[in-house]
Amino acid sequence: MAKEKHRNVIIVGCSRFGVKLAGSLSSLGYNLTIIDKDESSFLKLPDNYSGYEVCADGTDVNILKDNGIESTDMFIAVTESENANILAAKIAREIYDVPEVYIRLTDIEKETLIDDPNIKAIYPFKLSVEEFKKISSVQIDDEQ
Amino acid sequence: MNIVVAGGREEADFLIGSLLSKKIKLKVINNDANYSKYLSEKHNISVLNGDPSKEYILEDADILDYDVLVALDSSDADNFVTCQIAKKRFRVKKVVCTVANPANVDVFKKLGINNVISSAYSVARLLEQATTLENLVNTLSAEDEAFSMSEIIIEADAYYAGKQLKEVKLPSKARITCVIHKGKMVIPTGQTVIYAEDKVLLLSSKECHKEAIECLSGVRKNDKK
Repeated sequence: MAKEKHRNVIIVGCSRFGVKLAGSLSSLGYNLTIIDKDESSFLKLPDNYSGYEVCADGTDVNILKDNGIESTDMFIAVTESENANILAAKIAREIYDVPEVYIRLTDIEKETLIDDPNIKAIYPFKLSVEEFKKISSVQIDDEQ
Repeated sequence: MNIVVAGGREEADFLIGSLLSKKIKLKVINNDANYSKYLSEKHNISVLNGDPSKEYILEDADILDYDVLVALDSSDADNFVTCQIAKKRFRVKKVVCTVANPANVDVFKKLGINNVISSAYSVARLLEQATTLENLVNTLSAEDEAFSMSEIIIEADAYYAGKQLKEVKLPSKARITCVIHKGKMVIPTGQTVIYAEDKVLLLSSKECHKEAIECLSGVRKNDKK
């Protein structure tokens, strides 16, 4: 879709997950900026990645402003610290009104802090359980 | 009054000591095992060792309906989450936190955490005040800096030195609420004379603050007269 060519995406956290998303979205024609405090983390980015790499704190409002959060269409917070992900997502959503925000959370109890339908959380542990159910011989039925 | 002190090192240590001396009921949570042990031994209190930004830790600390939570961790994001959980899940009435990044004072306010302290931010403000005017001794801001109370020394060459207060042409939203003459407090009336070396307490709105201070300061003559 041609529309995607003009969409701006900020990814905070150059984790394995962040890197994979950056590569995929970049090859689809999105305008990417990836932010991470650790310079060496950018080495993980694939060769076809054509976006910006910013070595800085992605929860710092001034850094986000300098990197165009005001005109960002999608914000993805996937650092190793879930508290940083929550703070970054809240800044993106509540201060800059970014339409789509995704974050990675490990602690399901923190779901209640994100009382915003436009912040969508991804829980690796939930996905692992799903996968285990699919591939294992054990029948798990946990409806709670 | 009951207070939770979550995280932090020296500042937590100092705060705990000071609160205990005021006989305030305290809960202390610290995620550093060694520091928890140190705090516990020094102050002779129980310290819960754990990450206060986790709901199950705060659950364990049993802080439901506490009056105040103070979050002193070195990570701003951790303090933010701790405060949010305390407010939303445990109905703590007031949450206060420190931040390393001065920009987060305004950010946290926008996100619903109203009491945010940044030492860099406070020091910068104080320095700003101290360097702009030498005779400005102290300023206290309240209500998000909507108004402030300043202590000003009347210099010998000030235009109003030796004149009655009714002659002082202050902006409309500024008042001299107190005059300290030779160490004695005077509740001023229009007839009160302000002398050189007197200290005056000026209450003013944010908009009038600068003008009011300039009006009372030494060099500037009030040309509206």
